[in-house]
Amino acid sequence: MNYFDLFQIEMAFDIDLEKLRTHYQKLQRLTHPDKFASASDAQKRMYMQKNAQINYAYHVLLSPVSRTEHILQLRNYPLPDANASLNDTEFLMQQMELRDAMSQADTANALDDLTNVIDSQQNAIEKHISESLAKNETASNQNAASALTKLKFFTKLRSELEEKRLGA
Amino acid sequence: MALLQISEPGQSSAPHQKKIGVGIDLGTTNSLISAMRSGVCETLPDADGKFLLPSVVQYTHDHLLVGNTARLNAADDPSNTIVSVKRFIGRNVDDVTAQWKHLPYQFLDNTGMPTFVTAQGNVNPIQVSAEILKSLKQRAVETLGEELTGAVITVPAYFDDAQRQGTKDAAQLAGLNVLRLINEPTAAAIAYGLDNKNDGQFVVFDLGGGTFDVSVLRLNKGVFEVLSTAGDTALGGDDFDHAIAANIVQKFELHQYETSHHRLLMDVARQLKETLSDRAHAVTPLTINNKLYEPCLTRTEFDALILPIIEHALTICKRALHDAKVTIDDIDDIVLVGGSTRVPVVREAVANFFGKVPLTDIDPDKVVSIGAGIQADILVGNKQNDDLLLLDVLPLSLGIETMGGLVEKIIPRNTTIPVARAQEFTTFKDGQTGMLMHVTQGERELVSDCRSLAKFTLSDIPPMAAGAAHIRVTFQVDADGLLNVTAMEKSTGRQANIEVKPSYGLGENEILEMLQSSMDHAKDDMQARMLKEQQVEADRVLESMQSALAMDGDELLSNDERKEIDESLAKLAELKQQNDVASIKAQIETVDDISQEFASRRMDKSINQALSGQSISDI
Repeated sequence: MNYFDLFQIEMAFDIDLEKLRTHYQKLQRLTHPDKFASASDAQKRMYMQKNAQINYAYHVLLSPVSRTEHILQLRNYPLPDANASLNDTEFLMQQMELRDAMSQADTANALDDLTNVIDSQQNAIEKHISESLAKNETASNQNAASALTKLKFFTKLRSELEEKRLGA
Repeated sequence: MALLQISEPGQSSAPHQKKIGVGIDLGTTNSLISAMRSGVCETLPDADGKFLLPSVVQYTHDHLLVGNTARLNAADDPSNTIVSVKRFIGRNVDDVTAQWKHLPYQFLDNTGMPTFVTAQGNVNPIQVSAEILKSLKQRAVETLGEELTGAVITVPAYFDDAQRQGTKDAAQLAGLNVLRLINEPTAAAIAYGLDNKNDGQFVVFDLGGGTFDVSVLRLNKGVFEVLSTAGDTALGGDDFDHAIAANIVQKFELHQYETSHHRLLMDVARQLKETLSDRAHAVTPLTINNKLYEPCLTRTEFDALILPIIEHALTICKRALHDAKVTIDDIDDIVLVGGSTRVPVVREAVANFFGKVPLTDIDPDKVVSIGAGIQADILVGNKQNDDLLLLDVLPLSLGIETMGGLVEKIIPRNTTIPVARAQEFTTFKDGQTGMLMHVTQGERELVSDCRSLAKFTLSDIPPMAAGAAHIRVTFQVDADGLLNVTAMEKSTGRQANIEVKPSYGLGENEILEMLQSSMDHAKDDMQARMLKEQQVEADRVLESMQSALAMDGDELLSNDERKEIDESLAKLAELKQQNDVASIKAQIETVDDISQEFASRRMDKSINQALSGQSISDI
């Protein structure tokens, strides 16, 4: 199932989030179980399955990580193994430094500064993925796939940072 | 079988027919029922004009009493009078007694679902809850003078699957058609008409007697989306009473009476708390062993006592905001729900935390039931299709047990429902044909720290070499927040059989048996009612199919397909004239089966049209 088709938006890394949301809401109005509360069991089942698929598809397209994975899947490009180690020593060093900085950041200001650093680097990776996915060629898909692994590192780091901010 | 609803969602297929949807707040302490009357949703009073039905059921040897009388008798007949049964739903005895000591009940045993031993025999929490629901149902039928089409029942947002299923089973046992289970904070948001406001973000802060729920909602173009929900099922006004009672014990050195006079101390504490809602100082006499004590408390002292509890609740609010990915500044309004939000310092603390005065104009006891009544009216189809649409979330993550007692999360909390996720498993022995799966709910990493929901036994897996069978297990959560599991072996496409053993609930057969035995008395009545129901259903199917065929039959069906559907409808029309309930029912199912593909094509067509900017009314 092509989720871009489901929402009738163009397949690309950079998507119109406002359009995605509008289309999501339209599909919700047509398929949500509340619209079929007194329908037959068969109808309820059919619409619930469709609605669950719409919810899932929306969730996939919203997140840059799963959106990238979805595009690569649709192109039959093998996804990087979740457990595969990254060979980019420089990137790994940088991640370790960021983690060090996070464990030492103990004021709101320090956490804000770190958030800005992470965000700007994450944006750069996303830009790189976007450019790579613009073409459907083995080399560019490969570029996107390795950038995806880095994006996952940053996403994880970012969510740990948010947890820390919540605990502070 | 309401095919018509594709083009006109929410609209009644038979406008002349009045449909009654009720909203029920099945509370720990009190329960209420609401319905639309002359365009306004109101809570329905009993014969004495009282709205609150105490959630208390007394089983004497010759009577079954529900409500106020039962509550008054509770002190004299504690073991036969079940109070706060909601705490037992979807729980085992140990869970409950660990939290609430000094319970006066006799339990059959301490494992699995609790069974109360009463003067009328053994009853379980689902049966007790069903008695409360029956009493409310009867009140509604008498007040409204009509049979009920269906009910929306509220549950705490933080209720897990077992607690939701138990609530739904109780409603079924009470003879209610459950339109939907909705979360209490969401119901409150509906009651406040937040959906009529401008687009924005809202927080519902629901502090009841025993539970705390907080939800963050977003309204965008008429779609009301729950962004996150968080809570604590063991945090509430009872904790305020405990704090006051502990303070009294301390002050008068009553430690030796703490257990023996627990109920009395708690009552005094509650009176002090309630007096302080509108006064700065309170005194309540307390007599123990003929000695009179005069515990007094000032507002300032009380505020200091409960401060840690309020701070805990606000920490949970932070978590909810974080999960919703919004900040305090993004919040446009806060709604207060639950009796414990009457405490002035709670209101002040919430106002300070959010930097806004919270909305409090609807009675916090009634607000949940009113919201449920409004939603019920929409779900039975009394409103037009531009009404609000509510998207709710799964409150607690669903997972399965893996090696070493660890939990692997399958569906994370705060995922919009309905939702379905599939997971693949494989066999680890040659020729293995069965597999056991343990489903849990909760956020922790160890199985022992999460709620056990059910154990599923998969059987009929085709025997293959170890690792060759790929079993795809689909976990589906419906709009009520209830889990359903299906499994399929991928290479053969064969459906694996699943047997569910709920950890603290009833199996499907047990529910059927209970229903059967409760109906045996009124068999003839039931027969007549079921025939009437099936005939009405047949009419609805015929009407909606005709209208669907008129609209899309030519475009979406081949001649042969059309002929097959027409014939099945003709047969249904014929069977409807006769008096055989089973054959009408069977034919309705046949029509459903035959028209499934047609229904699915109509769904796809409507989706395509909606997104390509054409509305169906334009055609």
